[in-house]
Amino acid sequence: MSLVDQVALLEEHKKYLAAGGNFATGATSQDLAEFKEAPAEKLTEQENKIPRLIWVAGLRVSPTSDVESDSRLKYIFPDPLSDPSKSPFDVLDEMLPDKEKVRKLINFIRNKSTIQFAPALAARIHFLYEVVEEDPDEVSISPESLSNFICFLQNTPNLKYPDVVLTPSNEIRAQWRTAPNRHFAVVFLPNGTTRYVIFTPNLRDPDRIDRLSGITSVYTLMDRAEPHRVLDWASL
Amino acid sequence: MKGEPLPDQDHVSRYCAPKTAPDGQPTGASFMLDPGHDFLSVNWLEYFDLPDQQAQLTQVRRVIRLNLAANGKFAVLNVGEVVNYVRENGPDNRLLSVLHEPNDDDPSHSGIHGYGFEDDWVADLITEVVQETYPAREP
Repeated sequence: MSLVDQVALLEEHKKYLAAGGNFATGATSQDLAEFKEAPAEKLTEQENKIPRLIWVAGLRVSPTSDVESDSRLKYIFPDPLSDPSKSPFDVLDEMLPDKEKVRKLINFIRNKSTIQFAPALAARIHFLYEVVEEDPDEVSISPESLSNFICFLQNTPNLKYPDVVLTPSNEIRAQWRTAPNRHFAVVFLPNGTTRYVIFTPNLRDPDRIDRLSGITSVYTLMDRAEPHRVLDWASL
Repeated sequence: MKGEPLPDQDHVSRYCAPKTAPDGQPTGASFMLDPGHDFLSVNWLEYFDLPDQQAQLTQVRRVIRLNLAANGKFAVLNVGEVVNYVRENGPDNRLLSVLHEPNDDDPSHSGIHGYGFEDDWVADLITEVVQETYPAREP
Protein backbone atom coordinates (compact mmCIF):
# COMPACT_ATOMS: atom_id res chain seq x y z
CA MET A 1 0.00 0.00 0.00
CA SER A 2 1.41 3.42 -0.92
CA LEU A 3 2.05 6.14 1.66
CA VAL A 4 -0.77 8.21 0.18
CA ASP A 5 -3.15 5.30 0.56
CA GLN A 6 -2.01 4.70 4.13
CA VAL A 7 -2.60 8.35 5.04
CA ALA A 8 -6.02 8.24 3.41
CA LEU A 9 -6.85 5.10 5.33
CA LEU A 10 -5.68 6.68 8.58
CA GLU A 11 -7.89 9.69 7.91
CA GLU A 12 -10.85 7.40 7.33
CA HIS A 13 -10.07 5.57 10.52
CA LYS A 14 -9.90 8.83 12.51
CA LYS A 15 -13.16 9.98 10.97
CA TYR A 16 -14.79 6.75 11.95
CA LEU A 17 -13.46 6.84 15.51
CA ALA A 18 -14.56 10.44 15.88
CA ALA A 19 -18.04 9.38 14.94
CA GLY A 20 -18.04 6.75 17.67
CA GLY A 21 -16.98 3.74 15.64
CA ASN A 22 -14.57 1.18 16.99
CA PHE A 23 -12.79 -0.04 13.91
CA ALA A 24 -11.84 0.92 10.38
CA THR A 25 -14.12 -0.35 7.68
CA GLY A 26 -13.22 1.61 4.57
CA ALA A 27 -10.37 -0.80 4.16
CA THR A 28 -9.62 -3.64 1.84
CA SER A 29 -9.91 -7.16 3.13
CA GLN A 30 -6.18 -7.27 3.58
CA ASP A 31 -6.26 -4.09 5.64
CA LEU A 32 -8.98 -5.50 7.81
CA ALA A 33 -6.99 -8.65 8.33
CA GLU A 34 -4.05 -6.53 9.42
CA PHE A 35 -6.21 -4.35 11.58
CA LYS A 36 -7.68 -7.36 13.31
CA GLU A 37 -4.26 -8.07 14.77
CA ALA A 38 -4.00 -4.63 16.37
CA PRO A 39 -4.87 -4.32 20.08
CA ALA A 40 -8.59 -4.03 20.58
CA GLU A 41 -9.95 -0.85 22.09
CA LYS A 42 -12.25 -2.25 24.75
CA LEU A 43 -14.47 -3.86 22.21
CA THR A 44 -17.29 -6.05 23.30
CA GLU A 45 -17.18 -9.68 22.36
CA GLN A 46 -19.73 -9.10 19.64
CA GLU A 47 -17.96 -6.11 18.18
CA ASN A 48 -14.73 -8.04 18.03
CA LYS A 49 -16.37 -10.47 15.69
CA ILE A 50 -17.39 -7.90 13.14
CA PRO A 51 -14.11 -7.06 11.35
CA ARG A 52 -13.28 -10.71 10.92
CA LEU A 53 -16.65 -11.40 9.41
CA ILE A 54 -16.51 -8.47 7.08
CA TRP A 55 -13.14 -9.68 5.93
CA VAL A 56 -14.38 -13.22 5.43
CA ALA A 57 -17.28 -11.99 3.39
CA GLY A 58 -15.08 -9.57 1.46
CA LEU A 59 -17.53 -6.79 2.22
CA ARG A 60 -16.47 -3.16 1.95
CA VAL A 61 -18.49 -0.32 3.39
CA SER A 62 -17.83 3.40 3.10
CA PRO A 63 -16.86 5.25 6.31
CA THR A 64 -19.98 7.39 6.34
CA SER A 65 -22.37 4.53 5.78
CA ASP A 66 -20.53 2.56 8.47
CA VAL A 67 -21.38 5.14 11.08
CA GLU A 68 -25.01 5.01 10.21
CA SER A 69 -25.17 1.30 9.89
CA ASP A 70 -23.35 -0.03 12.92
CA SER A 71 -26.47 -1.89 13.92
CA ARG A 72 -26.76 -3.14 10.36
CA LEU A 73 -23.31 -4.65 10.53
CA LYS A 74 -24.16 -6.48 13.70
CA TYR A 75 -26.52 -8.65 11.74
CA ILE A 76 -23.62 -10.25 9.93
CA PHE A 77 -22.78 -13.19 12.14
CA PRO A 78 -21.58 -16.66 11.21
CA ASP A 79 -24.19 -18.08 13.54
CA PRO A 80 -27.39 -16.06 13.69
CA LEU A 81 -28.21 -17.60 17.03
CA SER A 82 -25.20 -15.78 18.49
CA ASP A 83 -27.26 -12.58 18.42
CA PRO A 84 -30.74 -13.84 19.12
CA SER A 85 -32.11 -10.39 19.87
CA LYS A 86 -31.65 -9.37 16.25
CA SER A 87 -32.06 -12.58 14.35
CA PRO A 88 -34.89 -13.63 12.03
CA PHE A 89 -35.09 -16.70 14.27
CA ASP A 90 -36.82 -14.45 16.85
CA VAL A 91 -39.94 -14.62 14.77
CA LEU A 92 -39.94 -18.39 14.94
CA ASP A 93 -39.97 -18.32 18.74
CA GLU A 94 -43.28 -16.53 18.78
CA MET A 95 -46.51 -18.46 19.13
CA LEU A 96 -47.95 -17.40 15.81
CA PRO A 97 -49.48 -19.20 12.86
CA ASP A 98 -46.98 -19.90 10.10
CA LYS A 99 -48.50 -17.30 7.81
CA GLU A 100 -47.98 -14.61 10.44
CA LYS A 101 -44.40 -15.70 10.94
CA VAL A 102 -43.84 -15.41 7.20
CA ARG A 103 -45.32 -11.91 7.19
CA LYS A 104 -42.97 -10.91 9.99
CA LEU A 105 -40.02 -12.40 8.17
CA ILE A 106 -40.94 -10.42 5.05
CA ASN A 107 -40.97 -7.28 7.18
CA PHE A 108 -37.63 -8.31 8.66
CA ILE A 109 -36.16 -8.59 5.17
CA ARG A 110 -37.58 -5.23 4.16
CA ASN A 111 -36.75 -3.23 7.28
CA LYS A 112 -33.98 -4.88 9.24
CA SER A 113 -31.97 -7.27 7.16
CA THR A 114 -28.53 -6.56 5.75
CA ILE A 115 -29.37 -8.15 2.43
CA GLN A 116 -28.29 -5.85 -0.39
CA PHE A 117 -31.33 -6.57 -2.55
CA ALA A 118 -33.74 -6.56 0.40
CA PRO A 119 -36.56 -4.57 -1.27
CA ALA A 120 -36.65 -6.81 -4.33
CA LEU A 121 -36.40 -9.96 -2.24
CA ALA A 122 -39.16 -8.82 0.13
CA ALA A 123 -41.38 -8.11 -2.86
CA ARG A 124 -40.70 -11.54 -4.35
CA ILE A 125 -41.40 -13.39 -1.08
CA HIS A 126 -44.54 -11.33 -0.61
CA PHE A 127 -45.67 -12.33 -4.09
CA LEU A 128 -45.06 -16.00 -3.28
CA TYR A 129 -46.87 -15.55 0.02
CA GLU A 130 -49.93 -14.18 -1.74
CA VAL A 131 -49.89 -16.89 -4.38
CA VAL A 132 -49.88 -19.55 -1.69
CA GLU A 133 -52.52 -17.85 0.44
CA GLU A 134 -54.86 -17.50 -2.54
CA ASP A 135 -54.98 -21.26 -3.00
CA PRO A 136 -57.06 -22.98 -0.28
CA ASP A 137 -55.29 -26.27 -0.95
CA GLU A 138 -51.87 -24.84 -0.14
CA VAL A 139 -50.07 -24.73 3.19
CA SER A 140 -48.12 -21.63 4.15
CA ILE A 141 -44.55 -20.96 3.09
CA SER A 142 -42.30 -22.72 5.60
CA PRO A 143 -41.14 -19.95 7.98
CA GLU A 144 -38.18 -22.07 9.10
CA SER A 145 -37.06 -22.50 5.51
CA LEU A 146 -37.42 -18.77 4.88
CA SER A 147 -35.53 -17.92 8.05
CA ASN A 148 -32.64 -20.19 7.04
CA PHE A 149 -32.59 -18.57 3.62
CA ILE A 150 -32.43 -15.08 5.14
CA CYS A 151 -29.58 -16.08 7.42
CA PHE A 152 -27.71 -17.61 4.51
CA LEU A 153 -28.02 -14.41 2.48
CA GLN A 154 -26.94 -12.27 5.40
CA ASN A 155 -23.87 -14.41 5.96
CA THR A 156 -23.03 -14.47 2.25
CA PRO A 157 -23.47 -10.84 1.28
CA ASN A 158 -21.59 -11.02 -2.00
CA LEU A 159 -24.23 -13.07 -3.83
CA LYS A 160 -26.37 -11.69 -6.63
CA TYR A 161 -30.13 -11.55 -6.37
CA PRO A 162 -31.36 -15.08 -7.13
CA ASP A 163 -34.54 -16.38 -8.68
CA VAL A 164 -36.65 -17.43 -5.71
CA VAL A 165 -39.43 -20.01 -6.02
CA LEU A 166 -41.19 -22.53 -3.81
CA THR A 167 -40.92 -26.30 -3.80
CA PRO A 168 -44.06 -28.44 -3.76
CA SER A 169 -43.77 -28.41 0.07
CA ASN A 170 -43.48 -24.62 0.03
CA GLU A 171 -39.87 -24.47 1.06
CA ILE A 172 -37.67 -21.76 -0.41
CA ARG A 173 -35.63 -22.62 -3.49
CA ALA A 174 -33.10 -20.07 -4.70
CA GLN A 175 -31.43 -20.33 -8.07
CA TRP A 176 -28.46 -18.55 -9.57
CA ARG A 177 -28.36 -19.48 -13.24
CA THR A 178 -26.82 -17.67 -16.16
CA ALA A 179 -26.42 -20.61 -18.57
CA PRO A 180 -27.03 -24.36 -18.65
CA ASN A 181 -23.46 -24.84 -17.41
CA ARG A 182 -23.66 -22.10 -14.80
CA HIS A 183 -26.42 -23.23 -12.52
CA PHE A 184 -26.53 -23.22 -8.71
CA ALA A 185 -29.86 -24.02 -7.06
CA VAL A 186 -30.55 -24.59 -3.38
CA VAL A 187 -33.56 -25.77 -1.40
CA PHE A 188 -33.52 -24.43 2.16
CA LEU A 189 -35.09 -27.05 4.37
CA PRO A 190 -36.81 -26.21 7.65
CA ASN A 191 -34.27 -28.16 9.71
CA GLY A 192 -31.26 -26.09 8.64
CA THR A 193 -30.02 -28.38 5.92
CA THR A 194 -29.94 -27.61 2.22
CA ARG A 195 -30.23 -29.61 -0.97
CA TYR A 196 -28.12 -28.14 -3.73
CA VAL A 197 -27.56 -28.69 -7.43
CA ILE A 198 -24.57 -27.36 -9.34
CA PHE A 199 -24.01 -27.45 -13.11
CA THR A 200 -20.57 -26.01 -13.85
CA PRO A 201 -17.94 -26.18 -16.62
CA ASN A 202 -15.46 -29.00 -16.20
CA LEU A 203 -12.15 -27.63 -14.98
CA ARG A 204 -10.01 -29.34 -17.62
CA ASP A 205 -12.51 -29.43 -20.47
CA PRO A 206 -14.79 -26.38 -20.26
CA ASP A 207 -17.00 -27.75 -23.04
CA ARG A 208 -18.12 -30.49 -20.68
CA ILE A 209 -20.50 -29.88 -17.81
CA ASP A 210 -19.97 -31.23 -14.31
CA ARG A 211 -23.30 -31.90 -12.62
CA LEU A 212 -23.32 -32.34 -8.87
CA SER A 213 -25.89 -32.44 -6.14
CA GLY A 214 -25.80 -32.97 -2.41
CA ILE A 215 -27.10 -32.22 1.02
CA THR A 216 -25.30 -30.08 3.55
CA SER A 217 -25.88 -27.64 6.38
CA VAL A 218 -26.84 -24.09 5.52
CA TYR A 219 -23.62 -23.01 7.28
CA THR A 220 -21.36 -25.18 5.10
CA LEU A 221 -23.21 -24.68 1.82
CA MET A 222 -20.73 -22.22 0.36
CA ASP A 223 -17.80 -24.34 1.55
CA ARG A 224 -19.20 -27.09 -0.62
CA ALA A 225 -20.17 -24.87 -3.52
CA GLU A 226 -17.19 -22.55 -3.84
CA PRO A 227 -14.71 -25.19 -5.10
CA HIS A 228 -17.05 -25.62 -8.07
CA ARG A 229 -16.65 -21.92 -8.88
CA VAL A 230 -20.28 -20.98 -8.39
CA LEU A 231 -19.17 -17.50 -7.34
CA ASP A 232 -17.97 -16.95 -10.91
CA TRP A 233 -21.59 -16.41 -11.88
CA ALA A 234 -23.46 -16.10 -8.58
CA SER A 235 -21.50 -13.29 -6.93
CA LEU A 236 -21.60 -9.57 -7.47
CA MET B 1 -54.13 -48.55 -20.76
CA LYS B 2 -52.79 -47.84 -17.28
CA GLY B 3 -49.04 -48.22 -17.04
CA GLU B 4 -48.47 -48.20 -20.77
CA PRO B 5 -45.36 -46.25 -21.89
CA LEU B 6 -46.14 -43.21 -24.02
CA PRO B 7 -44.56 -43.10 -27.50
CA ASP B 8 -41.25 -41.25 -27.66
CA GLN B 9 -42.52 -38.86 -30.31
CA ASP B 10 -45.53 -37.79 -28.23
CA HIS B 11 -45.79 -34.89 -25.82
CA VAL B 12 -46.92 -34.23 -22.28
CA SER B 13 -47.86 -31.01 -20.52
CA ARG B 14 -47.07 -30.10 -16.94
CA TYR B 15 -48.99 -27.43 -15.04
CA CYS B 16 -46.48 -24.97 -13.52
CA ALA B 17 -47.99 -23.05 -10.62
CA PRO B 18 -46.90 -19.41 -10.19
CA LYS B 19 -45.00 -20.30 -7.03
CA THR B 20 -42.61 -22.39 -9.17
CA ALA B 21 -42.56 -20.08 -12.16
CA PRO B 22 -43.14 -16.56 -10.85
CA ASP B 23 -41.97 -14.90 -14.03
CA GLY B 24 -43.82 -17.29 -16.30
CA GLN B 25 -40.71 -19.37 -16.93
CA PRO B 26 -40.73 -22.90 -15.49
CA THR B 27 -37.92 -23.66 -13.04
CA GLY B 28 -36.69 -26.89 -11.53
CA ALA B 29 -39.32 -26.52 -8.82
CA SER B 30 -41.98 -26.90 -11.52
CA PHE B 31 -40.86 -30.49 -12.04
CA MET B 32 -40.17 -31.52 -8.45
CA LEU B 33 -42.22 -34.27 -6.92
CA ASP B 34 -44.41 -33.78 -3.91
CA PRO B 35 -43.07 -35.88 -1.02
CA GLY B 36 -45.15 -39.05 -0.95
CA HIS B 37 -45.84 -39.02 -4.68
CA ASP B 38 -44.41 -41.76 -6.86
CA PHE B 39 -44.33 -39.83 -10.10
CA LEU B 40 -44.70 -36.39 -11.63
CA SER B 41 -48.24 -35.78 -12.90
CA VAL B 42 -48.49 -34.71 -16.53
CA ASN B 43 -51.08 -34.86 -19.30
CA TRP B 44 -50.61 -36.82 -22.54
CA LEU B 45 -51.43 -34.35 -25.29
CA GLU B 46 -51.77 -36.77 -28.22
CA TYR B 47 -54.39 -38.71 -26.25
CA PHE B 48 -56.96 -36.18 -27.44
CA ASP B 49 -56.29 -36.77 -31.12
CA LEU B 50 -56.58 -33.10 -32.00
CA PRO B 51 -54.65 -31.23 -34.69
CA ASP B 52 -52.47 -28.95 -32.59
CA GLN B 53 -51.20 -28.29 -29.09
CA GLN B 54 -53.52 -25.33 -28.55
CA ALA B 55 -56.53 -27.59 -29.06
CA GLN B 56 -55.00 -30.38 -26.99
CA LEU B 57 -54.37 -27.99 -24.10
CA THR B 58 -57.93 -26.74 -24.27
CA GLN B 59 -58.98 -30.29 -23.46
CA VAL B 60 -56.37 -30.58 -20.71
CA ARG B 61 -57.75 -27.44 -19.06
CA ARG B 62 -61.16 -29.08 -18.99
CA VAL B 63 -60.11 -32.34 -17.39
CA ILE B 64 -57.25 -31.41 -15.09
CA ARG B 65 -58.11 -31.58 -11.39
CA LEU B 66 -56.22 -28.51 -10.29
CA ASN B 67 -57.01 -24.88 -9.59
CA LEU B 68 -55.32 -23.21 -12.52
CA ALA B 69 -53.94 -19.81 -11.56
CA ALA B 70 -54.33 -16.89 -13.94
CA ASN B 71 -50.57 -16.47 -14.17
CA GLY B 72 -49.75 -20.19 -14.18
CA LYS B 73 -48.31 -21.95 -17.21
CA PHE B 74 -48.36 -25.27 -19.00
CA ALA B 75 -44.93 -26.53 -20.03
CA VAL B 76 -44.82 -28.94 -22.96
CA LEU B 77 -42.22 -31.71 -23.09
CA ASN B 78 -41.40 -34.31 -25.72
CA VAL B 79 -41.44 -37.77 -24.12
CA GLY B 80 -38.36 -39.19 -25.83
CA GLU B 81 -36.34 -36.04 -25.34
CA VAL B 82 -36.97 -35.98 -21.59
CA VAL B 83 -35.96 -39.60 -21.16
CA ASN B 84 -32.86 -39.35 -23.33
CA TYR B 85 -31.68 -36.01 -21.95
CA VAL B 86 -31.81 -37.13 -18.34
CA ARG B 87 -30.14 -40.45 -19.14
CA GLU B 88 -27.34 -38.81 -21.11
CA ASN B 89 -26.68 -35.86 -18.85
CA GLY B 90 -27.32 -37.09 -15.34
CA PRO B 91 -24.60 -38.52 -13.11
CA ASP B 92 -26.11 -42.02 -12.87
CA ASN B 93 -27.56 -42.88 -16.31
CA ARG B 94 -30.99 -42.43 -14.78
CA LEU B 95 -33.71 -44.03 -16.89
CA LEU B 96 -37.02 -42.24 -16.56
CA SER B 97 -40.24 -43.63 -17.97
CA VAL B 98 -43.38 -41.78 -18.99
CA LEU B 99 -46.45 -43.93 -18.37
CA HIS B 100 -50.15 -43.53 -18.93
CA GLU B 101 -51.94 -43.14 -15.56
CA PRO B 102 -55.59 -42.44 -16.49
CA ASN B 103 -58.23 -41.78 -13.88
CA ASP B 104 -61.99 -41.34 -14.07
CA ASP B 105 -61.91 -37.58 -14.54
CA ASP B 106 -58.77 -37.29 -16.57
CA PRO B 107 -58.15 -39.99 -19.17
CA SER B 108 -54.99 -38.21 -20.40
CA HIS B 109 -53.34 -38.24 -16.97
CA SER B 110 -49.83 -39.66 -17.12
CA GLY B 111 -46.71 -39.74 -15.00
CA ILE B 112 -42.97 -39.29 -15.30
CA HIS B 113 -41.52 -42.11 -13.20
CA GLY B 114 -37.99 -42.82 -12.03
CA TYR B 115 -37.05 -40.09 -9.63
CA GLY B 116 -37.87 -38.98 -6.13
CA PHE B 117 -38.68 -35.73 -4.38
CA GLU B 118 -35.03 -35.23 -3.39
CA ASP B 119 -33.69 -35.65 -6.94
CA ASP B 120 -33.66 -31.94 -7.63
CA TRP B 121 -31.09 -32.35 -10.40
CA VAL B 122 -33.56 -34.44 -12.44
CA ALA B 123 -36.11 -31.65 -12.15
CA ASP B 124 -33.47 -29.13 -13.25
CA LEU B 125 -32.54 -31.24 -16.28
CA ILE B 126 -36.19 -31.62 -17.30
CA THR B 127 -36.48 -27.83 -17.24
CA GLU B 128 -33.82 -27.66 -19.93
CA VAL B 129 -35.95 -29.56 -22.45
CA VAL B 130 -39.19 -27.59 -22.12
CA GLN B 131 -40.28 -27.09 -25.72
CA GLU B 132 -43.08 -24.61 -25.27
CA THR B 133 -45.13 -22.85 -22.62
CA TYR B 134 -48.82 -21.91 -22.76
CA PRO B 135 -51.04 -19.92 -20.41
CA ALA B 136 -52.68 -22.05 -17.75
CA ARG B 137 -56.05 -20.48 -18.53
CA GLU B 138 -57.62 -20.11 -21.92
CA PRO B 139 -56.32 -16.87 -23.51
